[in-house]
Amino acid sequence: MPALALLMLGAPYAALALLMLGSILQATSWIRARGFTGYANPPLALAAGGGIRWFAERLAFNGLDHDRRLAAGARMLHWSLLLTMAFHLDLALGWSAAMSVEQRSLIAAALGIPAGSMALVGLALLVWRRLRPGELVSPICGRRIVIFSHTSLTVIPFDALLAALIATGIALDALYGSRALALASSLATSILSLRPDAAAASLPLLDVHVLLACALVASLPWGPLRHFESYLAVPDMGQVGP
Amino acid sequence: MSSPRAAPKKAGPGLTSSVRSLAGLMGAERSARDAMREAYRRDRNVRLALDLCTGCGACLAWCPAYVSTGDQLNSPLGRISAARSLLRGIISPDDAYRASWLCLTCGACSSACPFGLDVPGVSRAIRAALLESGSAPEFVSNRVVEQAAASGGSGFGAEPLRALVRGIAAEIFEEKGLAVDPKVDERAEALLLVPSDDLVLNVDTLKGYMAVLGRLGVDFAFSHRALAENYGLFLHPAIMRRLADGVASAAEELGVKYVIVGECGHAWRVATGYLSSRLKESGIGIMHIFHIVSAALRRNELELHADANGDLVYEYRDPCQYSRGGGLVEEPREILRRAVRNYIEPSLSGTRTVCCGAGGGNLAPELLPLTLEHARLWYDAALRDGADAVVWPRATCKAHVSRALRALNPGSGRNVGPHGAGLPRAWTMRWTPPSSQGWPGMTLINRRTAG
Repeated sequence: MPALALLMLGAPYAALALLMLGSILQATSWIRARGFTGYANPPLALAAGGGIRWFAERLAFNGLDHDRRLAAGARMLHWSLLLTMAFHLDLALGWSAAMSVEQRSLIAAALGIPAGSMALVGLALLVWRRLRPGELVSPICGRRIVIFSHTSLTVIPFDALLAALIATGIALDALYGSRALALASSLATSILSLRPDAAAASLPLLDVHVLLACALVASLPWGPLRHFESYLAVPDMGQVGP
Repeated sequence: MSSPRAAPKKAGPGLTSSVRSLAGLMGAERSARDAMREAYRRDRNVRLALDLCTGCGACLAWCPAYVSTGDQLNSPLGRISAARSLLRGIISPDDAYRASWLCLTCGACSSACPFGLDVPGVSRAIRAALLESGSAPEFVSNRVVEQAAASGGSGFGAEPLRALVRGIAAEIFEEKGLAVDPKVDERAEALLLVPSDDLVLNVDTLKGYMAVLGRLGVDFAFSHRALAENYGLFLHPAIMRRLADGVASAAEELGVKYVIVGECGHAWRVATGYLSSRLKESGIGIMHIFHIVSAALRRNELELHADANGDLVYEYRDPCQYSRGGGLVEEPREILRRAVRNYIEPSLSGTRTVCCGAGGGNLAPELLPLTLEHARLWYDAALRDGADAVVWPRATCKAHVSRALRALNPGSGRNVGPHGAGLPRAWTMRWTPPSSQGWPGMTLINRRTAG
């Protein structure tokens, strides 16, 4: 069996294992660290954080409106990624299995390409904002201030990985349409049923897309992208020490 | 703009040693890096902040310290970066000192953060780590030593306190015809916890507490060992707990059912974050004086005479430690709306409030130029709002706002006035005896316990 096929067979499971291990270690470290209060008790965390509304406002990125580049970039990237994730889950779980492949691929092209493109534009906007700090008006006084970001070197490779993943996804959609969809669905189903079929990823670019996805999933809890886990954790502003 | 190198003056070896001993750090000094590593392991908010901050900078436009100075180290991102560098041992002690001690700990950054990360908690953790390695500011250290002395009974003596409150009671009788019989170090239903500033500088505020509690028939006492302020919050959690435990012991000795906290922001923060849990073990409740007054107003047990406060336009400005983390937002407004004829809401209120400029231990005299720069932010906002008087009911805010207005009014040609007490000067005409069941309708703050 070729090395790439072997990799294709093992990579999804290795990625999921790393995701689970990292998430468990992360959650354990957060729970073990003490506070007088905190998210270890989810209902209290919700109350402390302002309830469901707090989460909804976070998802809407309402608090970022004073910084147009940040707000636009964050909305475009995160909303598009959520839509794309739902679409990928559908590939594996077959929610829309009742539809024909043609119908599904039409929807994928109609939604997937715009969503992927919007995610890329959002990501580019956020990276541009990090690399080229600008000025904005402070909402507390109307003065213009310089906005800077502490961009560590670790952020850039993750952003590059995400960009490559999205770009290959768009290319697959645009170049192969229903064929890519059928193969990807078959591959996702085979992985979930623990009978991985590497041949399903024989389409050019699909294997690259899958491997990039595995790399991203594996890295989620270990790098800056773990900020998505913050939805599990509400820091309590009433806390005054360990 | 003040010097970007401004920093609070450091305490000498003797004072630092005293403070370290109060924190229980008797042994050999530990490196700040090791202490910070322990904080990272043990303190959930610190861990979350350092794990999750992506450095997006959403906080910057809301941080009064950064907005007024443009100093990157003196910003939320500067503090997160300093803490991470401290964990790796690659930051100079001076930079870590400036990044943490110039923080106003106001929490504006946390309200703006998409993840709600507790940057003030990170600043406090760096400060505690620096103390463990032998570094602390002189101003805060002196306050801590004084507060520890008071807690040990050698601060404000029982007799002077008794004489003071008797004198205040006599003034109340003269002005209002109301007899108040305050107790000192005697058993009572409630312990009134006031900041020392209210005993010395803001005596009108003290008069307000005593008059209202007396009018409501509350059986309250002072303890010469229990003052509200707790600078341990700014310096080291062990000192914070030690001072708060002193209050709890005094409350237990007096056999009270309730502790009433006066106008002190960090005392209220410690009350909600720690003391309430500690007192709960002894079955003692805790509330703010505003809870009592607003409940009495709702039940028509007090009536305020707004006319006595003239035609000025009053603006309530939320002290950070009340509104962010303290949950005290509506009650003071409820009181003030009834206490004045012309009330306006500030353009930024509640959790979006702007710090007075001297929070978090920044009241030190050597930081005055810097804190006046910070104060200009709310001062300009108050002018834009059209306020004649700003009401800022917290001891530190009152102290800074008074001096800031003296400095800023001449430049604007306005005469904005400070009003500390949410408790108005003119009160009561209608009076209903309190229920024998206690004080129905009041909010008891009983913090949930550790998760």
